[in-house]
Amino acid sequence: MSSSSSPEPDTSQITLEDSISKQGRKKTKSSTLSEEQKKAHHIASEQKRRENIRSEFDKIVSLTPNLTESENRSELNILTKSADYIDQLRDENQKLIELCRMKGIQVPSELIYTGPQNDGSDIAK
Amino acid sequence: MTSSTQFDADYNLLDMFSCDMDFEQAYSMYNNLQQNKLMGSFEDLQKVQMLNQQYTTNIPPSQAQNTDYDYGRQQIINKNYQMHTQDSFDEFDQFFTNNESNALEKFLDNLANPNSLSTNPLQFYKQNLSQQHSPILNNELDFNFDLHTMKLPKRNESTTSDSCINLKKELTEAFTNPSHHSNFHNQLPTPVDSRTNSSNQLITPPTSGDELSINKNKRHNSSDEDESEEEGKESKDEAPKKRRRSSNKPLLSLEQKRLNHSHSEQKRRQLCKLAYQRCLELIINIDAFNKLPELNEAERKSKRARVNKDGLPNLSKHNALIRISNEMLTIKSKNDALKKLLESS
Repeated sequence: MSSSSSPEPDTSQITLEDSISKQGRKKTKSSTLSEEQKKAHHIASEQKRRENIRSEFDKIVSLTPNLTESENRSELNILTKSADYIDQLRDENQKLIELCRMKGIQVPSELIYTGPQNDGSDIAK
Repeated sequence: MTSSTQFDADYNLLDMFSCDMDFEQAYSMYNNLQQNKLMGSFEDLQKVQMLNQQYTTNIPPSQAQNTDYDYGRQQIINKNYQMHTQDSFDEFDQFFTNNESNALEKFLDNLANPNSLSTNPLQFYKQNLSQQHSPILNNELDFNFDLHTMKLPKRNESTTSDSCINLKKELTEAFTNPSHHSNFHNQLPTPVDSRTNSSNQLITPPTSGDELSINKNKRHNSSDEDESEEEGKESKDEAPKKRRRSSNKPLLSLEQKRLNHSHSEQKRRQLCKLAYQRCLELIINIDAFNKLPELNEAERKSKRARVNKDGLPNLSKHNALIRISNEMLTIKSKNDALKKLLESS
């Protein structure tokens, strides 16, 4: 992908021209087919994307007790209820820790929830 | 006013399209032509009237084919009725044949009378025919048409003939240019003007009070342009007006609907966005995210921006959903572990 960083301008020019001519040849040979292929590919990947999102929604619905399969599956509904559920879990975590402390149980630090650990540094990688 | 000048004007008018000429020049020429034509026809009519007075039975050949006219004429002649103005207008009415203008009048009357019986356009013609042969019967039959101005037996009455003239004038006015008509008006003062109001009020349905008063004012002032404009509208007035009014409300409500719809859609999106942001804050440490160093371009694997336009982590939908469920799972596992701890103790 990172073909932009080529040190010598001469070779890069040559390769560029080569690639252009190659592309041109390809297009003239099978322009309609490639277009169709592109389209099909695009449709397939879009379907894949949607299917991924749907499966994730399904997963969240199965995880969240106040979301049921038969319920309104609008994005807003799911996002709101899942956020509610996370808040609920957080509260529960705090209460449990409180309980443990009251009972004099040593709570291991990995069981204490201190907010999201991910800082989003992996997003664009 | 002679025929030679008229010919010249005619010639020039024809030439007007080929040679380049000022608009004003052309316009004045056109006006002259119209005036000349009018004067000529008026003179002709006067001649014809003279002839008619001399030989009352001698019908001019141009009107011989017009049976409608003949019928009326004979009636009128029998009653020794002098129809100067009527003649002149019949002659002047070059645009429509008598039958057609009758039908048109009927049509207008019908528009003014929405509950009248006829929906078939041919009926206008049919009634016309029946009118010729049994005028009295017809008169009894369609009392709905108050504005049957072209009824032949009623020509004897000055009011109906006047309104007939008036209507014809309106129709011709609609198709001729205004200045020409102003001349016409001045040269041929008819008793029409006083009655213009009544007939027009009958033609236009009493839609709204102010509209009518405006009409009246315009008429009384009788600035010719206004009048001609109005007349131009007059013939096609009824249907569009109704349509406009009926469609006025739906149009407004449509606009309202659209506004409401877009408003609620924006609201929905805003809510969705807020819910998503709430989720994001729950799954990603925003503070840490904001403190992240700028990405080194060379290190990047995808072209995806890390920050979206709201300054929040630019996650794909799928990715965000995965993280949400992961977050749920992690907290839940912690809670479960805590519960176990509590139980075991």
